Amino acid sequence: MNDILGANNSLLDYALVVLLYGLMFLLIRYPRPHLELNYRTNYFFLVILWAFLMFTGNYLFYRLGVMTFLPWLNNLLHSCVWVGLCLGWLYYCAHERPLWEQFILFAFTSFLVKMAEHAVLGSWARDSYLGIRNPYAYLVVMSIVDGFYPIISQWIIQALGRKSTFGIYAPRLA
Amino acid sequence: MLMASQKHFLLTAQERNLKSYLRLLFFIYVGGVLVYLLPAIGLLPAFLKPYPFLIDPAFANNSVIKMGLFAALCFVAAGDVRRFLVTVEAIMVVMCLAVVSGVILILTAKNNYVMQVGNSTLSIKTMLLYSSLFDAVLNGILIVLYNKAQKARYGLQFFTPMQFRTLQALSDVLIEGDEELITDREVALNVDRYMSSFLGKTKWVSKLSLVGIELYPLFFLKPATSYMRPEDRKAFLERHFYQDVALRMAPPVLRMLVQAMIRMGKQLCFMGYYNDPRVHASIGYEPFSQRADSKKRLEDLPYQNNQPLQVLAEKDVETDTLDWDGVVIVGTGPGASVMAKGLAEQNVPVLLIERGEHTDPSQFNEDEIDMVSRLYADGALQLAADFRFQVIQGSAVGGSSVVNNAVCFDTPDSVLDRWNDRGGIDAGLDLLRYKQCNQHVNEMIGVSRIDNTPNTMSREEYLNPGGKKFIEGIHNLGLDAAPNVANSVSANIRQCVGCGYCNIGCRWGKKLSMLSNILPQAQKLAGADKFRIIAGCEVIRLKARGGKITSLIGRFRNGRKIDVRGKTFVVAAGAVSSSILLQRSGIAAGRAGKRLSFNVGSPMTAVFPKGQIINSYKGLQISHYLQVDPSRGFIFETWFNPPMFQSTIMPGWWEDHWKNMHRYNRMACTGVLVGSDSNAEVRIAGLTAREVRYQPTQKDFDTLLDGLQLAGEIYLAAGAEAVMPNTFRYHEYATGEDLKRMKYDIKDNSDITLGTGHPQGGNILSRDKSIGVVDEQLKVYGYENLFIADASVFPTAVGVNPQITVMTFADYAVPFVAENAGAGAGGVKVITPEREPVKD
Repeated sequence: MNDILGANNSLLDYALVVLLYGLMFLLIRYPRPHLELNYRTNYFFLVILWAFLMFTGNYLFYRLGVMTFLPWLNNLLHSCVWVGLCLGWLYYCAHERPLWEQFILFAFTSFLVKMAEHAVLGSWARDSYLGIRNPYAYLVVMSIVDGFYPIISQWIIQALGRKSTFGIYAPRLA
Repeated sequence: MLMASQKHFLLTAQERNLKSYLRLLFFIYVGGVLVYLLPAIGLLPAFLKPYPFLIDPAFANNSVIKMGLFAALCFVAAGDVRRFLVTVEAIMVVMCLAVVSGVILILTAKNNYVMQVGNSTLSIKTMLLYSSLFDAVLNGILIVLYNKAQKARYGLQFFTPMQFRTLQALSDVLIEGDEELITDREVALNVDRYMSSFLGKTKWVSKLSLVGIELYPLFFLKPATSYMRPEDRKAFLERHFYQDVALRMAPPVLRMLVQAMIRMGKQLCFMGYYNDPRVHASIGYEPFSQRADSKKRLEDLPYQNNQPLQVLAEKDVETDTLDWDGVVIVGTGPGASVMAKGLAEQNVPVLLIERGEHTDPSQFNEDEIDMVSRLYADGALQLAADFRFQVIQGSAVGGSSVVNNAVCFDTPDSVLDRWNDRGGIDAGLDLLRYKQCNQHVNEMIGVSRIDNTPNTMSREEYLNPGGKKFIEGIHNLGLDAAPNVANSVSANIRQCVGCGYCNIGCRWGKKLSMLSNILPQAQKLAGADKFRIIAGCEVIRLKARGGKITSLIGRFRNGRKIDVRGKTFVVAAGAVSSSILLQRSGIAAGRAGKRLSFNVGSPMTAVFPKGQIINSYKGLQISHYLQVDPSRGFIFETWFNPPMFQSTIMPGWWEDHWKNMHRYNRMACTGVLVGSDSNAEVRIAGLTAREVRYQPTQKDFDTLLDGLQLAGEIYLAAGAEAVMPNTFRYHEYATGEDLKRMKYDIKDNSDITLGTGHPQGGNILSRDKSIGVVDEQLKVYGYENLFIADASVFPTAVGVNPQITVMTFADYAVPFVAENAGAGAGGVKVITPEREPVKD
């Protein structure tokens, strides 16, 4: 059970995390509450792609020793709900902004959520990382990694949009 | 300055990248050899001391051999990446194997012992994971660079290097003659150009077929197809792709797949070879532009362009949501165009949305590959689910009317009676009004008997010369007497120049297609603001609220979607596409797409003795027909094509096909059309989400064979030295007695190529709501503002060319649609036959 929920975690703790995701989603969705017709396929594609990549990547990188173990339910919710749905929508709202702005926005929001998960579930904990002896080093580096979400997503959308693969639409850049 | 010949040998930038990477790999592997070898002989460097397993002699020995071999292969390959390409392929295959074996061991190995590494431990599975990841990354980069290098070397745009090589290898053995005029590589490049020139949903089938053909020999422990010597390759193809299929030696499913693969492979090779202008003279073909009398013909019958059609492309549609205060029509084919024109005459604003692109007739040319890719749906590669039945449809502004033969037949009375049979389909058509619409359509599109067409030349000069032979045979057999009808066809063609390019678009404006005739007329009448056409936009869904369609979603080829709102919607995208659209939209569930039927066709080719040059390709592609006593159930139409099309329906393999193509100018051809039973269906399924399922009934199949036999007899009576149906196994019949064998040679549809350009039904008209999708006003049951006006409403196959029937239906429905849109005369009095209470 520890592998699924994490040590000392109950479903109530997870409900709290989901509530946090929901509140963050409300905030993220604020500037653009509705998906435009031409962005729907892109959104759902990114949701599925990132959720899958994150879920498998988190485990694989744990196996490689690059990351700490995320309890399975934590990994599932973080990958699907936070990275998939919430960051997907954040990208929808922010994808026309300069890349450096997007990078900061993604890294910062990610940091907030990871902090919350760390506080509630005890995950994302590591005493030192990359030679830095500070418990926040791991959190900061992982958040910075999340900052690459918009850069990678843009590259994928542009690449697939060239031939409208999977129905992806990439508008011509001005 | 570099000479051209020197440039040929220069490596492309991508090849140079591959070369550099191979050098890098060489050093990596040499490094690997040293890492494993040095500790084993007691020279363990300090930085490797934490890894004691390196001094295990067995481990080190295996690793040195592996690394050494890779290093040697990389060294050789980097020397000449063109000459030693096979070495690169060997590295890629073995590396893939290494990764796969690593994954299998990680997942299944029981002995997961732990090794001491410095101050910590490492399990052997984790070690394997690292090494597999390392191999995967190195190999991934190699594969990418290899593909880029190969694509750059040949300028490939569609096929992968492996598929391209397979195509070359196939062409090497399938096109087998004494003096091939273009190389196998040029054939494959022609095909690559063709396949890259259009967007289609079934293009993957061609790739898959080539991969299948390449790898199939591995099951027999033989090298891949392209690695075989040509003699062995031909022997293998003969044994496993020809005999196993023709003699039914393979199990049914495998046989179907193998047959589909080789059919596709053959077609591609023949297209690539016979479309090339360098080949044309060798088969006795002269393109129209090079014929001695073409200039005179064009001077006598000059090009007549109608008012150019104004068509919007994706870039012209500025917003993603359009509000159209009128009728929105899906499609621009015969049904859509006649409907649009009728509405325009009643001052109803019309917006037409077409999946295909717009090509002005002035851009039509003699390059069959170019025109097929521009004007046909899926580049004419649409196949039924069992890959044995080809459904060919136009996809351009003007729809199939741009590429059809313009042959016009009124709906036969017997068919109308069957449709209106109250005990059967119960279509409920007002036959008097239907006939009036039929007459109106004939006048509107300018139908006339083709030999009565005003023309400065004699009919012999522009009709298909092969038709003359056909008529001669009919006369010799006494088949030209009543109740049979043998004549030149009626068509919406005026002052034909006889170029023979009906199926690739009439450049000269002689075929009065929707593109050249009806749409420009209607746009001129209504004004471009009230009569808009959007091209290159596929309608993917109709959105409904309650019983009302509120809008439709269209998608351009770049993926952009638009939401189009309107008052009334008319679906006229053709039998297959309309049915699919309704299914995607959840409309008429369980009925849409059912009861699909066709005019199933298959050609009979005749070859005449040496010295009798016929040149059937010069002149109208379909010029004559024979309608035998209706109870026989088929109709003949003479038909001949420019070389590329003809080569794909030309019977024969290997040297037989070559021989036949080199008798091209002594041949004539007739298509036998049979109105099929309504036992087919189209549904959202399969990898293309557009699956046509069809198996001819025994009755239809027997009728077709009956027709083919009679067609053969007619040509033999006209002096043909042999006749050939388009069978999988090659058969040539030289006498009437021989022909009797045909029924035993062709056992089922796997033995013969069947196809259609006339899909019908799918959303049939019936007052019985349990089977009908539309009512007698062509309005979809359950929806107050949705109509259908194309061949999908046909309750059964008409058995003749359907364009007049399609247009008649559209004309018939115009008042209902206009009234629904709140305009028009309204109050059309339709007298429908008395009927039983409507079944719910």
